[in-house]
Amino acid sequence: MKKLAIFVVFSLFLFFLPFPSFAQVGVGITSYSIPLRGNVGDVYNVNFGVMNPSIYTIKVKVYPQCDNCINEVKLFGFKLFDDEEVLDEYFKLDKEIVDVPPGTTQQNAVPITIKFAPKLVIKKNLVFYTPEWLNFFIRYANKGYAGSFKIPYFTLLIGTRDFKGRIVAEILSYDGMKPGVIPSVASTLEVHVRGMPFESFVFLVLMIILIIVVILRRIGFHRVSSSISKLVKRKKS
Amino acid sequence: MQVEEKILFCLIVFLGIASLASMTMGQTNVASGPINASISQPISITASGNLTTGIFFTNGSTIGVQYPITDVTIKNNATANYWGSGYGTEYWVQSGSSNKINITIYFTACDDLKNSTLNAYINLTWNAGEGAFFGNGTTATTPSLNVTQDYAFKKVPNWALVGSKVDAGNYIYLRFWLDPWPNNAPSAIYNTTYKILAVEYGTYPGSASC
Repeated sequence: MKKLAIFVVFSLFLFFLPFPSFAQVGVGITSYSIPLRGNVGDVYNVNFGVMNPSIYTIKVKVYPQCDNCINEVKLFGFKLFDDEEVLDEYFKLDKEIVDVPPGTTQQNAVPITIKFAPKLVIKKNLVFYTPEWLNFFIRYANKGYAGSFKIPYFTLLIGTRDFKGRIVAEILSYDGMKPGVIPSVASTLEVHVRGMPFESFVFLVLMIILIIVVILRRIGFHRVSSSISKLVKRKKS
Repeated sequence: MQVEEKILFCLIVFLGIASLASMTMGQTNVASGPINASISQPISITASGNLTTGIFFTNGSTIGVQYPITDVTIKNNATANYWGSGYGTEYWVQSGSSNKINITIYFTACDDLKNSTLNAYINLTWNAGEGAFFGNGTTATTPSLNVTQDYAFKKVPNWALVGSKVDAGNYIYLRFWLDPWPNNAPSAIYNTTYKILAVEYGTYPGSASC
């Protein structure tokens, strides 16, 4: 009788154990659309939360995706390289990976802050794609070479920029286990940034030219040219 | 004073006046009070336990247990295709009940099924009626096999559309089949990672990446 009772209790214990293989796992974002609008120099924060409708703690990766951040640069119809925008120059997420407790709803969602702070001088990348005949030699030295390389450069943010994309929340693990199929949700992201107007840029350039001319007039063109020639002579000697 | 210096001086005076005006104009003493609203429009999904565990293709039409596939010329079932009550599927994705919008659900595979040791592949994508396929429906028994390209698996950067305009709280039930190609793939275990993405109905899912 005692053995039967122990067997029943043990069976019930096994029955109520949370079998992770049958755990429903989900993820959510508290806002299905996130618009970011502003001018260069504006600084503000936008908050959203990550939800977890499942009964296990989930580790979630949150990242932005852009649909129109890469522009092809062509010459006579031939693609030379890609010009890539860097989203970090416009906004940043304060966390990339968050642990979300079970049963997290809209009310107690784990907060993520987007700091929107577009800069006047922004970093961009030129992406060059190497031909396959060259990739063979590069991969001989570097097996992980993806067939392209980036050269960063800085430029002024002139005119407006409109980016479309999404903020994705993707499950990395639930209770420490990697899911076989990875659920993710995406919130639509729209970014509209107004940089320096083109007219202001022209004005700035004219001002700089004017200042240079005034300085040269004050000092005298002949003195500048003679000091340059002296410098050249010194280097030669 | 030279002409350029005069122009520069005028411009500096003009800019000074403009900045002073922008600082002072429009500043009026008005009492202000806060006006505040908090809006929450969530988007969420839940995947079934069997889907979260993974899609395990088994031999023929075996239910619940994964056996090695011996016939590579037929559409082999995933283990939970008919594992539910009334032979319903145990694979589903539910749109969150608190969603205020309809969602669209996409799937993609990170790669073909791969055995890293052998560096051998079983292709998932469409090849003249071969590959991996999904069936979808709004009840557990309705997903059926459609050997068409629309129902074939896709891999990055493409998404396969599995559920369009899914209302809050509604389910999309799924079944999966595999007709491996090439047929002379060496005996081994092959695997890959599979992703689900939910976006607002009518919006672009973007390029898939892993």
